[in-house]
Amino acid sequence: MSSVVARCFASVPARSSDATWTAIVEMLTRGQSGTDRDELLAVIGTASSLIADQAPKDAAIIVTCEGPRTRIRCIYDENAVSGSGVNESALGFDPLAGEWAMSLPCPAEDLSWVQASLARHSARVTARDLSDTGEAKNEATTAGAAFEIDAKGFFG
Amino acid sequence: MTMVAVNTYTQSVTYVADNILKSLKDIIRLTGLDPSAFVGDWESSHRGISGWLESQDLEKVILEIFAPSTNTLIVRWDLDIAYGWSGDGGFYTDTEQLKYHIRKAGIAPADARYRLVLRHRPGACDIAGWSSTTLRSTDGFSRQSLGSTIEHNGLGASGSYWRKN
Repeated sequence: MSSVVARCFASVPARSSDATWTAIVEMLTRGQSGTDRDELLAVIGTASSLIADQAPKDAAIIVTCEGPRTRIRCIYDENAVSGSGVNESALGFDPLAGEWAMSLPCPAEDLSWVQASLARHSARVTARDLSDTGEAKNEATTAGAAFEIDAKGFFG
Repeated sequence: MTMVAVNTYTQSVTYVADNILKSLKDIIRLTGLDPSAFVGDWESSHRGISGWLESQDLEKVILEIFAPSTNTLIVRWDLDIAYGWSGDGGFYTDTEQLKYHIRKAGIAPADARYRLVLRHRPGACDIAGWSSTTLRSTDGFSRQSLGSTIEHNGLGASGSYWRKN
């Protein structure tokens, strides 16, 4: 299983929902311009509405790539102001290396329009029901891979 | 380590502006409409609301839901701003009360459209992306008040809606 790196961003009221998204994009792109940054900023409206809904409070934004997986949560209210639990430090790797993808947590009642709205701007950024941790499918895949036998190579 | 939280007026502006937008998004969705166009303007809407809240010029945030064929109002939602900021006190957004009244106001026709309008005091500075407009008539409509809906340290917004008699 790939390693996981976690970050927690201060959100409302320390910064607005759209400023929170911009800060997340800044960390993920490591301040570099380009198509990845453009694609992430193209969904700023939809992502900001999810941040305003506090969807990433308990369920993480998950970024997968060729390297470690990045899990991002947001902190709100008094803790956002005091900075308690906040960790926005730069990553020591490129979280968008290779074929990256991002999964945004979303309240179930908003999932339909959010998925459609994201799809109009990006094929990499998708939304999932926030009750879905986003881990089960990957863990199952990894477990399956652990028991997979390359019969051709074994008997070859 | 001891951490001290300092409440500033700007933080209250951020809280109220964000929760106004969240509430309007919920109104649009629960009215049966697609909020995509609304969230597509999120940055511009936030800039207008927070900019005029910061200067204490914002009086009212209005969401008009209208029939495009006749250009007439179907329902209108108002959030009246109250400037009672004290630097201390609680903060809340009464989502459940709002949802109750949205359901009471009813579902809009599928072809209904919406727009956000901000009313500010005379002489307020210009904010990029915002221009003057005229509200649709509320003749034949009555206003239903919801009371205080959003508040942060005394800066708040009280909701109401207009529906046809």
